Amino acid sequence: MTQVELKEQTVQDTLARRLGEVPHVSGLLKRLAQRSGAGARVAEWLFQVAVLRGARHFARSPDSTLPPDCPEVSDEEIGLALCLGELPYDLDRLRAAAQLLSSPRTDVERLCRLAVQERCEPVLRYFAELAARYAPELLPWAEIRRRLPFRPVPRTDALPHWTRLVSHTGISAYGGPARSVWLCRHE
Amino acid sequence: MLGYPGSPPEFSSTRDVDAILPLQWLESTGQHDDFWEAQQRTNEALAGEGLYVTHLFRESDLILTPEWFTRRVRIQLELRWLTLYRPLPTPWI
Repeated sequence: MTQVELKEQTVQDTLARRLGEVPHVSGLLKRLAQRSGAGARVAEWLFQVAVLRGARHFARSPDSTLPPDCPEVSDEEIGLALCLGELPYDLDRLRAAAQLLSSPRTDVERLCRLAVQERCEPVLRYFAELAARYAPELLPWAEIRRRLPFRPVPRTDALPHWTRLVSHTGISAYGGPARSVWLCRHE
Repeated sequence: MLGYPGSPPEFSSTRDVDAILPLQWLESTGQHDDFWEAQQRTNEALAGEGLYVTHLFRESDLILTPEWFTRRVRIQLELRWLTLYRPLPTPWI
């Protein structure tokens, strides 16, 4: 019998691990890291660009040490890259992705193709199912529910709770009840 | 089963193949940008057929022996631009 030595490895806390998956190496992330010039800081860069492009709910002081936005990189690539299982686990990045992509300008076909290629279907389907409760007609989510194949993962409890993807109006001036409004991209 | 002698032909024509990327190869920053560009272009070219390259995994995320890279076995598929290998199976029992 062959003796096998098991070595301890440092396990990074990635989104994929939180979902119970093995993270794949994303070519999209490699290309964005290279093209933006952000290198190892690509996750921070993606988040900052998402905020600049309309995920304003997560606005914070811009980090001037990060490279500027790359107009040739599409919104779909930015939003999808924030949902990659390879990235360190960070709920705000996922929330920013949801807001950035919550726009009728999002190219559904491109987004669905990227999601399948980059194995992000569970995250997008999760957002889409939640959006169905608060904004049933909202694009791209209504189309994603129709087009994007379902791919199960062992667990989804690491994904943002619905309360983290909406804004709560509280008691409003017009006298109506408190409402939960899906966070859409600021166009 | 891909690449094992005597395996049924349908296993050689699978659409679902995992590729293992050695850490040393991955850590050589900037030296393999052509690979990632090629992956993107391949995916664009194959998009109409529903095919794509995506199952790329770090060696540290798979169960492998420390000497897996030097003990690979060539897969006898004649491809123009690609040479394929698989890890030598570990005799667990």
